[in-house]
Amino acid sequence: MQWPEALRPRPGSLLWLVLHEIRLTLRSGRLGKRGKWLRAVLLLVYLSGGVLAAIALRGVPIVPRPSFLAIASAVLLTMLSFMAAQALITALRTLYEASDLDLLLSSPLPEGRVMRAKLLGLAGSVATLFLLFILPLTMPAALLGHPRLLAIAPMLGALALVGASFGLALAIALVRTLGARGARTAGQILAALLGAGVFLVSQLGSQRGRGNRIAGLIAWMRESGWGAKGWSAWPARALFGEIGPLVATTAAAAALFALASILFARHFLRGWQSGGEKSARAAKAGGGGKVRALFHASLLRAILAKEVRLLAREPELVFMIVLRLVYLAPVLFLFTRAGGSGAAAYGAAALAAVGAVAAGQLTGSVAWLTLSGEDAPDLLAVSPVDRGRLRRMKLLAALVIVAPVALIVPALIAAGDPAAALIAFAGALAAGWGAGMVELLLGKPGKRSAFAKRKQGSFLTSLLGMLVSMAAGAITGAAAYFA
Amino acid sequence: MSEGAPALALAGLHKSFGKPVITDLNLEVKAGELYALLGPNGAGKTTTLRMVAGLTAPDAGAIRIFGIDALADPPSAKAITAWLPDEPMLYDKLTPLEYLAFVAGLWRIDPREAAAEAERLLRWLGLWDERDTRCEGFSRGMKQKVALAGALIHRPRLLILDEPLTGLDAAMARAVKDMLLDQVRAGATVIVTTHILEVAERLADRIGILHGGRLLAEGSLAELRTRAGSGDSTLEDLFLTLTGAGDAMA
Repeated sequence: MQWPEALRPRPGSLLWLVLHEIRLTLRSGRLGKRGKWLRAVLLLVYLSGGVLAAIALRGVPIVPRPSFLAIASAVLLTMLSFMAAQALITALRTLYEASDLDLLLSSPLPEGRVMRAKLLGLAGSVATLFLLFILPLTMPAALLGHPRLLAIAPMLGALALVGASFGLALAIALVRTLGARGARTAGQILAALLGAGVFLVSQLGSQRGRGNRIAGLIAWMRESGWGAKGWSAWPARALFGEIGPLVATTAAAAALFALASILFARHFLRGWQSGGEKSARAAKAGGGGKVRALFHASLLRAILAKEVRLLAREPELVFMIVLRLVYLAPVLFLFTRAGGSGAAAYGAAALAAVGAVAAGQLTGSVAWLTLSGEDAPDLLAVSPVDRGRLRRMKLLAALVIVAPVALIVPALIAAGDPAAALIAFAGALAAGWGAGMVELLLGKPGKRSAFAKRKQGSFLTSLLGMLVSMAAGAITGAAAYFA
Repeated sequence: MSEGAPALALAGLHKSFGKPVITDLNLEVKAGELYALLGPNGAGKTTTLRMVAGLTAPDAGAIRIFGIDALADPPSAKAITAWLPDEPMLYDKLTPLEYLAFVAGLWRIDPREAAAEAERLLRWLGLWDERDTRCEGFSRGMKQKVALAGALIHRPRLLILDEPLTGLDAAMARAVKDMLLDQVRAGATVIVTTHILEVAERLADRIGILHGGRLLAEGSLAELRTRAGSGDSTLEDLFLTLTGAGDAMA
């Protein structure tokens, strides 16, 4: 995109740097021609939904009643938790992975300006995703009869600034207390907790009979009045376009971000400057001297040791794998609740089914890492071990890695229903083996760093893996129920 | 493995990636010699060596390593071969010692022997103090050293190195050159590609010049000089004359 000469920011200025950051963010998920078409079609469908909703709402007055305010506050809180989580991860990534800081800080630009631009870019990247998701749905209504909803756009920006401030503060706090490596690991876990925080709280709420998911949070807000009345409702009122709360909220958000930038920019720079040094020091595996103990005659042990070490040293991968299990939690809640209080057999069967699905999903993920995400394929190819045997060993390594986790569900069931526990174990084994075989037979090579995007590489393999896990789960559940 | 067989024999090797990259390549490297494979960019050097290492399948032709048919019996051929590409085949998250343990496991080296050899190699390469540090923080030269240790831990009879001096400092480059000569003195065969012609000139027993996927010339430096009809030319002069690169740039 070319800016008109008069509007073009001066090279090296803060705005110029921020625009550079935003361009990098927009290009980070670069799509192919097909992807661009798909995105355009999806956006059009999405926008059409927004237009239809806007038409339906044309004559309906949107009044900020306390019940609406409670809902809006719950939504804002949920979004804030996601934004803070995203900001935390982005901040840590910027500290330890952004190679462009080398270039920027080696330039004659003032360090402070570079860091401010980075922090604003961080807030911008946090806001971008939400703007893309929310504006196409809401702006048509704002333009077709509800102009106060135009306030949603600046409110999202304000929310991103607050989220970025929290995320940044957490990142700096983690780096200062735990060091570079510890901060990355803890940051991943903290981000998961932040992101899932509202969901988990709502699950706890729903356990107490307050309905499901975010409804629990809304119910609590209605009861307590928090977010529905008084100053705590100001952000929600701003969302509904009330000028006073809107100005106050956005100004407060900007002030908070400015304060965070002033307070943390120097820490951020120091964190980055010492990042490499700390990483190298902290990366010491320790326990030298036991040289002999590392060397094994067995091929399986050599492969297993390597795969376990690699996995243990990539906490972000472990985090992503574990997150898949978190996503299974609602299914478990659903099944166990549907069974009612007196249906112990149903509960055991549901646990066995979910355990099998989880084992399949876990093995599929780990098998992708051991089989497809091999970082040194040439090393294995030049080794004198038959490729098929090597791959079977790698699948076996994946199964061994997953086994302790897969044993949890059968162990839980064993006390009440030993037969169902045995079936759960067999089901978990079958699901893991099946999902692993899918990866063995159909998996496509990829970089470990692309683990999160592996489904894009082979959609069919992922789908088949999921189907195998679910089929194994269904059979296991049925067998455990009738056992 | 037959006694007296050449370390490497390529016969009628063809490889095409849409267009021919290697055409009817016949090449023989005697056991115990240091052979330098030279050629301009895109000549097919790396493709040839990758085929020998078993990483790329030829379209036609035969590859024999110490008499073993590398296409019919890859495991036996690979068991006595080491391949060291210019981009180290490493795991950033493993320490040098753990990496060597893994490589030793792949080559089924006796654990006791492998542990001792790993220590010797890491000490020799100046990496012993870093044995428990993950490779991710290493410089390119250090990574290259770890990969070199991995290539040597199973004491290969045929050592193939693709641009082994890339990214190494002067001292390390010297150490690698000495190591190559030591390997040859110890009875191994070394095949090396390099863009540094001085290295080939000083180290190689024989030199092969690949151009456009064909072996243009082969022999000792003296033989190449005779062939080019210039008694005191440097290898660089010969190389430019034979490949026509000098004319093209003039």
